[in-house]
Amino acid sequence: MKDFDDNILLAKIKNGDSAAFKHIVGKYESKVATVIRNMLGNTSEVDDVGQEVFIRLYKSLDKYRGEAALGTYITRIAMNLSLNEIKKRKRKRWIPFTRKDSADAWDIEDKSADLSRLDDKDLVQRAILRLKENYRAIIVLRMIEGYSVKETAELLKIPQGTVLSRQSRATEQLKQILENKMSYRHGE
Amino acid sequence: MENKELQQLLENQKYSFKPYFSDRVMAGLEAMPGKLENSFEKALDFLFPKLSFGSMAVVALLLAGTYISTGNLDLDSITGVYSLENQWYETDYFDLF
Repeated sequence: MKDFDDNILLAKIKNGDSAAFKHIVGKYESKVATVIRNMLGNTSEVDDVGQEVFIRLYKSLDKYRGEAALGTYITRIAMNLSLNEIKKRKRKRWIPFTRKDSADAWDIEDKSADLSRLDDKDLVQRAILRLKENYRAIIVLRMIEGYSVKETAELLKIPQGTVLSRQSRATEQLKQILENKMSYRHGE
Repeated sequence: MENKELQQLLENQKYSFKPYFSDRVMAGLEAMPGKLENSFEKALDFLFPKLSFGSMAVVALLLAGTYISTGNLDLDSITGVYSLENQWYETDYFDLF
């Protein structure tokens, strides 16, 4: 089934072929993992949100009209669910006695972690997580996933000019954070 | 830090899920109501148009056959009672008594 294109797979899914849907999951899972992991960090929710992305995709297949590529459609679901998860975390911070995890855990770790032991990938991930979520989303879509300005604007439902201005600010902030982390690491 | 260097670092930020992710997704779909598998309802949706056209054609042929053999399409002809009535009259059952 590897050579089937998305439209053939979607037609098979509509006829109840579960193997075709499993193929779609296999085809796009790394894209979804990249979006969610870079948005949320290395947390226990990543796998759950990933599963939710594909369950939402399955539920909404009847509404999918093929205006955007399937990969873009899946990325939009992944990004929306990641942003929802971030909002949920923010709400949790205001509720006393709830488990403080995820991004908070990264913050605490970052202050005490031995940065010299981290590889570049982990270091960059920590730097990305220091950005505000709207900047983080731009970095993930534009610079990691390689979407164009137009595609990114459509995915996030913001004007193209906003994408460009946010990208410029996000890039500057990310560079600054990374330079600090790297100089700290080399200084040790 | 140059933009090119940052871009190279970011290009490496690719991740994947833990092994058997697609199996977990499929298990999640199986567990939800209106699941993905070839359900009876889905099969019915798919087969109904095909079966209904075929059935209509068979019914039309049977009606045409009935009309040709009996000359009318009343209920007795369609249900076959017409020919039984003829047999009844042709047989002298009263002789048995």
